[in-house]
Amino acid sequence: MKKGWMLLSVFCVCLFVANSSNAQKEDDFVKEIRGLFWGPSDEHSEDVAVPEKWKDESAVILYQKILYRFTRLKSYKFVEGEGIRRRIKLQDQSAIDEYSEFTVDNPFQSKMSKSRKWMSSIAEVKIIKQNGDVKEVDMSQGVSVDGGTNKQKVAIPGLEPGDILDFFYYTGNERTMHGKHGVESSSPVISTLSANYPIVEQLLQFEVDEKNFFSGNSYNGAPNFKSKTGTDGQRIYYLIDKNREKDEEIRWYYERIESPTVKYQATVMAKENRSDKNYNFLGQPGLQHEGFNTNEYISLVKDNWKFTPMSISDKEDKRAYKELNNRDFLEYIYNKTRFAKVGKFLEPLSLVQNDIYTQIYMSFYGFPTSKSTVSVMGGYLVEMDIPFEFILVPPRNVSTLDNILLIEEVEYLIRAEIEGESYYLPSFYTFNEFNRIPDYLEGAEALSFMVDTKGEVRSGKKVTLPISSHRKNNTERTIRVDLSDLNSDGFSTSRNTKVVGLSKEYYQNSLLTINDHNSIERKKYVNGPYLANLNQNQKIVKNAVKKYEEFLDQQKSDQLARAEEILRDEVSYDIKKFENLEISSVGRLDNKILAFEENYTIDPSFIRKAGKNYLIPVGQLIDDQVAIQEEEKSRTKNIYMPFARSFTCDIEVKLPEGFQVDGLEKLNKSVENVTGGFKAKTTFENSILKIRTEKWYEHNYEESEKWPDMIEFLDAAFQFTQEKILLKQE
Amino acid sequence: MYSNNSMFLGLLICCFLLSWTSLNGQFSKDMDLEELSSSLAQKYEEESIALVHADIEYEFKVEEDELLVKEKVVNQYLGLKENVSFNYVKFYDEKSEINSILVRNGSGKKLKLFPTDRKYENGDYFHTDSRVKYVTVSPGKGELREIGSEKTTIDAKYFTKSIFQEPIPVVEMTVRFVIPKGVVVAFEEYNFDDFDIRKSETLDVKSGSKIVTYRVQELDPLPDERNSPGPFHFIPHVLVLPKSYLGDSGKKTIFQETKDMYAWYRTLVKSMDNNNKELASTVTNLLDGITDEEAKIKKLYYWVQDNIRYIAFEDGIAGFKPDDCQNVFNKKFGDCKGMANLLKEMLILAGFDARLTWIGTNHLPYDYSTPSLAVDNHMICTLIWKDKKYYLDPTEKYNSFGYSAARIQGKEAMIEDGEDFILAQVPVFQSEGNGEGLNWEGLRIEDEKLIGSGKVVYSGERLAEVLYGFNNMDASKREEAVERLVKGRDKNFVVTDLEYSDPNNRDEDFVVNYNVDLKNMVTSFDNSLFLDIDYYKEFGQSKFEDRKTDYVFSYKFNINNKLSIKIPDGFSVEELPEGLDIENEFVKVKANILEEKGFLKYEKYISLKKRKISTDEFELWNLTFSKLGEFYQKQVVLSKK
Repeated sequence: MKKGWMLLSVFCVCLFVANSSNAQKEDDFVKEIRGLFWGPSDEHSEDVAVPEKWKDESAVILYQKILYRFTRLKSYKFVEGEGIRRRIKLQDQSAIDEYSEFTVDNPFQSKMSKSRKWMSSIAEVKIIKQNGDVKEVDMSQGVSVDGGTNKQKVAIPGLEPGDILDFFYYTGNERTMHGKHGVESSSPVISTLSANYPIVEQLLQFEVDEKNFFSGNSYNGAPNFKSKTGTDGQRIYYLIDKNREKDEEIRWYYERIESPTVKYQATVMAKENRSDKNYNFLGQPGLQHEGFNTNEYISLVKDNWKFTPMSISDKEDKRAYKELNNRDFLEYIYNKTRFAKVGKFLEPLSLVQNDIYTQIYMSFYGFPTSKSTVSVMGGYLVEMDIPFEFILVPPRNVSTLDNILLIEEVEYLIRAEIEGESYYLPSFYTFNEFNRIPDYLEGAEALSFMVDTKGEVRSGKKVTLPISSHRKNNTERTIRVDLSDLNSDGFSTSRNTKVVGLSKEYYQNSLLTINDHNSIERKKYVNGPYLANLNQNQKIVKNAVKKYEEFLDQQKSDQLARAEEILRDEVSYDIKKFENLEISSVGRLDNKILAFEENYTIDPSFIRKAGKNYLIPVGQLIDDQVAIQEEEKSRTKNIYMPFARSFTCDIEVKLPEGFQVDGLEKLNKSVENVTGGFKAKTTFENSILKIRTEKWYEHNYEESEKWPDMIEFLDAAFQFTQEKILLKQE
Repeated sequence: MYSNNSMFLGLLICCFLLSWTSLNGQFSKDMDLEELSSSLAQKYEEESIALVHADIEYEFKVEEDELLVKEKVVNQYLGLKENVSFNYVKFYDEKSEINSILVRNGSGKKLKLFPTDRKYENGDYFHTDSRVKYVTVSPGKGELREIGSEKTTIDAKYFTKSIFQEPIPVVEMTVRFVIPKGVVVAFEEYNFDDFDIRKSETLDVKSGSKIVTYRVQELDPLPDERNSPGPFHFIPHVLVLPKSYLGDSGKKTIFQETKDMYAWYRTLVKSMDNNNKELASTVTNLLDGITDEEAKIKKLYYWVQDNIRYIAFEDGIAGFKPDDCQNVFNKKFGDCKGMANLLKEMLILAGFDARLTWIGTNHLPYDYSTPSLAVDNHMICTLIWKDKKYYLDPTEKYNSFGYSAARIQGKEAMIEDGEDFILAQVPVFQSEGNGEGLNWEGLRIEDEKLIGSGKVVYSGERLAEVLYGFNNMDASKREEAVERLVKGRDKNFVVTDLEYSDPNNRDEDFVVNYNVDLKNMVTSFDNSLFLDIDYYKEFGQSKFEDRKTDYVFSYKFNINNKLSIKIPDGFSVEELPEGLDIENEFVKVKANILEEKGFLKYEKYISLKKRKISTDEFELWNLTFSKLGEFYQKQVVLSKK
């Protein structure tokens, strides 16, 4: 008994000591983090001045520090920490409203790691009044935010226009590398330097252990990184940026290509694993890696990539390989493999992701990347004894070839030449197609590597990916409108649409149900009912099918609602009633045209009365056109569009008999130049008004000097939508 | 009124009910639930669940000298479709607790579904102590789920109503109040007229308890439509008014009369710890140099509007007791009670007679003849000045002194008057001076464009909306915002030389002057010009379709637009659309185009005479505005002489 009491006492003492020790460590940690942002070396604790040019801004960031830490604990454990400190002057009510509430992680979970390196969050806020008084906000007065988020929100008291808010928020997280071949990276940052408010000065700082990898560089006029050694021997890479204007909203613009941008990322690697560094485009440990030049990338890929043959063992595949020519087999195996890796999961995934039926089990490990796609398809080409090119390319909206730094910036695809023709194989994304370069890669500068029939990468060179012609990306509409009874309470209209090429994806994504586009492939490759691939017991499959069929009904009615919404967005006249949508072709596999028909009724307000005559805004019958506002007309930034594309419209308007039509001359137009054009031709005969319009964008990119040319045809198209005809009684 | 189909369905359901032999009168597994499910699914195409039987009992009990209310619910839900689930939700707060929630299937077997307990998140409140317990239930089509719950309200004055309609169809519902001897409870019934609700009263001889029972049959789901009146204007419900009870120490009064309710409010007010000394220097500084009394009042009223953010913390008693004035002042945020309290104290410091005032907005259909916590939901400050009462609501941003926001107009206010109180009605304002007026005078036609100068004037509640939007916008985007106010995103409309009046002055109309350059309003064909006279075409497409509830506008407004266009030299008027002059109970619409001394003069006037358009007025509304729409379609035709 006495021993028991002694043990209890010892336990209590230990617990007390442990808790006291915990509390001490908490204090130490808070002090450490506070010191990173508000410490004695903080040179910005007195910043109050706003540059004259920004006096009318809603808020101005006087100083900002963004901090990343990547600190090793033991061989396989490390801490990733990130924090931001912002000192911002709030100059109007709008900014006060934005900063009047903070939602932060609940502070300190009392979760101790054995070392001093915590996993936790800390946020501190102070208000500097205009008279210089400093008020600290009690962040413990927050109220919890439910929903399993472990967050709390705090209302910031006493804010007035002219106040400065100085706050920091830091969160640390312990992570583990997976075994001897572990590779862990911080989230890649590819970001412009601007924010929603102008910034007087900002510091970006990355702290890594001396043995870690760090990739970091700046572009398009952003300041360069500098480096130094920290007090704990860590490497510190930092960048100071001053006088940064706020974000601009510019139509058709890729800010990371032209605006000052930084990229950085740190990587830790188990010491046993050094070969992966090449796959991850890493430099040398302990040194700032600023990117490779073209030759270095070529060497890197040549030395580290090899394609292994993919066996054509499936019975059907073997038969196809025997019967089809190489080109057709390549398309066959591309489509079939895509279904195996993507398509077959779409039905069960839709049940799981919508919480309809979660008892489903699938061996699904995520959608394939472009890298895994080229690995597989390259393997087939090796098996087929066909040399090919394996292409490494940054998406147009992410980077240029010369500015690649991080592995996350690149995509891959394959080009195979068969009997003198080139065929491109993009990633296994649902709406990609055999021999169609995704729009975000068209026209991009790339590195192309020749791969021989043994799968060895032989040579590399720079190439520019081709751009598809606007004719290949065409949206064609055939519209029939019945205005034969001008006093009708609605005008019956049908709109037939056919879309090809890259223009399809928008409608495939927004208009089609999963069943619309996936069932064709399921029937082709599985030849079974819904969810035929599920490999579970009969009861689960039966229940899943039942749920899926109900889900399809819901999808259909959602589809109608969506179609109506899309139509209303596309036209400027009022629609009285949306009748139906019929999809005749989804534009996949053998039939590359997406085709659908909509029937609806135009509201009677479409017709304007002018005494005994009628004014009809027939120009509105083509889709709404881009309206370049006055303030957009001067432009210094280059123009980045999704892809070259065209739109053709054939309209037939049935008019009542006994009327003549005035105003046809305004419905005949032709404007074209090197950037694109708009043409319209209109005739009237036998009470039928026929209008044919064509609009096209010649390229996916134009230099800013060409902007006036673009405005010329865009304005012509817009003005067409404003044109009217006069129906006069004969 | 029920259709033949509904009566047949009712008969069908009655037949099913009569075949039931269970002790509880509930649905039996013998019943063809599939068939019932199909027939309900047919009647209610949009619905996926129906409440086929509800038994709700509220028992009043005296425990430890307090009057409690114990609620027991047994609800049976029937799935009407596959792939549906719903949440059975019970709210509670500091004054109540949920004792249990149990779920059984149609065979009576208890299901392992455990309630989740969460904070009630509502955009209207930054924080509230209200919480919810809920279970998520997923009956398949034709499957029954029975959910039983128990809840205790630990202070009966917080138990204010019982609602008979649900967001899903209800086949039958029984609500029973068990009132023991010594407890006095009254009931006020609302919106029973259109529903089949029957009341009965019995006495339990054994216990001496009075049992008041309401039986409800066949209720359609609660409509969920925008701009509906507050739901208690149309949902059938009873207000439960506990008056008194016999406690350990004798009779205890809860809210026998309105004065009892006021007395309780008064205890909360007296329990505040107001210290207006902290406000004194601010009041002095604000009023420095101002001698006119009205100017002083406005200064303080507008200061609270502009400098105190509305953030509602409804935590326990904080839901009823105002925050101390110095707290609101220092934090620079508060809810309606805190803001009213702050304004009151600031006005008192300035020497005015200002009072806290309780009021139910027009979201609620009640007044203070009913002593219940249900009858009010807002607090303002009443200023008694020069023998007149002014209802000051600092939560109404940019509200002008002397005008009361639409949501409190016509409502009864309870004004503190020491140990007593004053009941007064907030005046109702008309639509004049509450809208916008456009003035495009002396425009000319040039190259098919309308060119000239224009002006738009915003007044009353429209002014408050515009000023609020302007002042709460990013300062660098305000000029653009004013331009958008005038022209939207219309490329045809070029606005230049934009000027506007003081956006902080809520006592005067907000006036925007600009130059107009408007393309595509004039079309020429041969020797004629066709003019689309009305650019804005307000309400031209206004129509009520498939709507179940009345429609309530935010405020009564008027639109008064004037346009004059010089007839180009060499042209005369060939065609002028006939004007429009309609007036009925809810709206006045006038539109006229004249030719006068070489000018086309167009004037349009739309005035909303009342905020609420009832469903039986929809047809007339649609007819009225279809005529306006037709008028807008007509062109003015000018021909060469």
